[in-house]
Amino acid sequence: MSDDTLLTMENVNVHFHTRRGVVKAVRDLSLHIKKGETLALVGESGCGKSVTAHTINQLIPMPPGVIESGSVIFRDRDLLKLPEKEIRKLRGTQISMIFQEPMTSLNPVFKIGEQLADVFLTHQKMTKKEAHAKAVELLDLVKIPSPEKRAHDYPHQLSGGMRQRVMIAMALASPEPGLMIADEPTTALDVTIQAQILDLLTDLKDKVDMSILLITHDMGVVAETADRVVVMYAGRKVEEGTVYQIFDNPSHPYTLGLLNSLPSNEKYADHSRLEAIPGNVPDLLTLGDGCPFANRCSWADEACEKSFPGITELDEGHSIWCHKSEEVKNRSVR
Amino acid sequence: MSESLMEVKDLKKYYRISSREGNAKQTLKAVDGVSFDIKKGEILGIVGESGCGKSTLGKTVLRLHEKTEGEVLYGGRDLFSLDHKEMVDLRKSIQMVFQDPFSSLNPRKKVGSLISQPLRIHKAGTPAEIAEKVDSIMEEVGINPMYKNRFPHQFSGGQRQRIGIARALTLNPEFVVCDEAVSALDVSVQAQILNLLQDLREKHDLTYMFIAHDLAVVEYISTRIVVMYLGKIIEMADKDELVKNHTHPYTKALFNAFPLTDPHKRDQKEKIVMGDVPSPINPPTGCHFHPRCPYAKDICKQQYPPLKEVSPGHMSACWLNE
Repeated sequence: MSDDTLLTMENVNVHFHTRRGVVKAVRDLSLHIKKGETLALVGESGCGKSVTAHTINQLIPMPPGVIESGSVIFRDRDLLKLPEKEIRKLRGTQISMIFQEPMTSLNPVFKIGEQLADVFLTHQKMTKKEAHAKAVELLDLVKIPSPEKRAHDYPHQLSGGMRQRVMIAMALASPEPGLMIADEPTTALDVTIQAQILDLLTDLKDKVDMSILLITHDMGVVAETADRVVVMYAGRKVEEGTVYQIFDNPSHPYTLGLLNSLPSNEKYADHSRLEAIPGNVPDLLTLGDGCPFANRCSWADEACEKSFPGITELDEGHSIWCHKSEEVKNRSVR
Repeated sequence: MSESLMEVKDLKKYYRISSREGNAKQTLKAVDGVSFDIKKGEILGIVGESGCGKSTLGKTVLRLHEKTEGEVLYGGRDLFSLDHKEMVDLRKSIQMVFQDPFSSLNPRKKVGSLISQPLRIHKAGTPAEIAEKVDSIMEEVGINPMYKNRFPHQFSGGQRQRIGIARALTLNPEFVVCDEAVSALDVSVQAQILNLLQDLREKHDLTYMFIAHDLAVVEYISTRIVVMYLGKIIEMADKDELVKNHTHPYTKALFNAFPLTDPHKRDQKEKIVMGDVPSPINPPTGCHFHPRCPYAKDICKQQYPPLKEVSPGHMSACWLNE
């Protein structure tokens, strides 16, 4: 592990024991986040991206969830082995999280200034007055106009975009922010507001020297904000690389299919039919040990059904997990 | 392509709502004087952010909502002048596909029964004919007719949307409003449904009004695009013209804010528009966009700009066009 690594996740398996059987939500997942980078975890519903995020800060409901195996090393400590008390401390200070719907994460009966000040009062020694001043300072940092006045607003008095800014401010209310986990932070927002929030996140990342784990289904959001990308499908990591490697040379059949499904792809400028991925995401309950994408993949054969492939390194930092990597490579690039 | 299927004239849909404080009623102008026509065979995309009135517009042109003012002419007749029986009759040819395939299907009804419901209501054939029609339409939208005894929860989101589309198509409509029909779906499934909608249009000679907030989807599927902001049309033109030569600052902001799937272009963007979409209850005076517009002049704060033709077939409502 090099010095510039903030977090390393290794061989993590997360299962959910439901009445209908065991759902293997995350399988054998390893990834790392470097200091100061934005790592995007991208995939469609049920791919395990949110479960991965919740594993990091121990928000998996147990039961039914079980982290079967693996380790998550953050600043030299294995988060999976820390007692609840220590984790709570970390959550407020070094690992923060913002969610898709800020209204459900904010307490509707307290003013946003109070809620922000609370973070300081809980985790740092400070008087109420100092905490309030800090809160206003943060509201200003996330570019909320007239922050002194806004601090006295209740969450419902703010727009969706403003609420998300408050959540971001809360995530920054720490003396040593390390990692911000942003789980679909702009999915509920209008596109002009989304652009503002993404801009703000990129801006802040440089200002306060933190890393962002961005969880999203939107390839556009990835292209605009990520430094590196991990593509997930049905609980597995299938491709990993820098944002340029992923978009310039997508190499896993699923990543290819995902990019080809986008109506904004230049190849559809002539209004031609979309190259959709056939079929549906598999049911995690009945999924075997083979490549989960095999039943939708045009390159797949028996080997793919039988076992999950090992790593194929294509370039420095660019890898795929695919039995058919040679065949896929020899197709014409888009 | 030139024949008008539907003409919307100065359509208004207002809601009276109680205000937060006290009993005074306020007016929400969801659709505020909108005029356009839909030509036979085209796909008219309606795009805008939340609160712009696009969904209300979609429902009002089908008379799922009563109008406040204005006319919707369909085949030369004003929809709002029809009596109940005439309206029921007309509903066979104007249909809607909804956004959420999870809440728009009755969870207690089997899929076969859900799809045959429109046929039974309109008494379109004997039970045997109806059963045959259900099979063929299921086949057409890509659901195995074997599954007609299953319930909606046994299908995935994409399959449910196919069922929603099947329901809209059983009566052989000529005009279908698709209200955020692919917004709830994963990208890979969304592409399947967009393809299906296009195939069905060709096969059945359909005309679509396609409402969505996702510019990429609207740009891909539409032949003509209407951009709305706070209840009004601010720009409309043929797809290619609008994409290449949009003139309204809000349309520019929308295109500019839309994330491109090319990381090499991320630093080439113009400055993004700041501020929030204002409340449609008390929209800003003059041009509703002026508080966020980087080019706003004095007149923009006072008077709403007229929707004017800037080039053939391309309308834009902005004082900068003057």
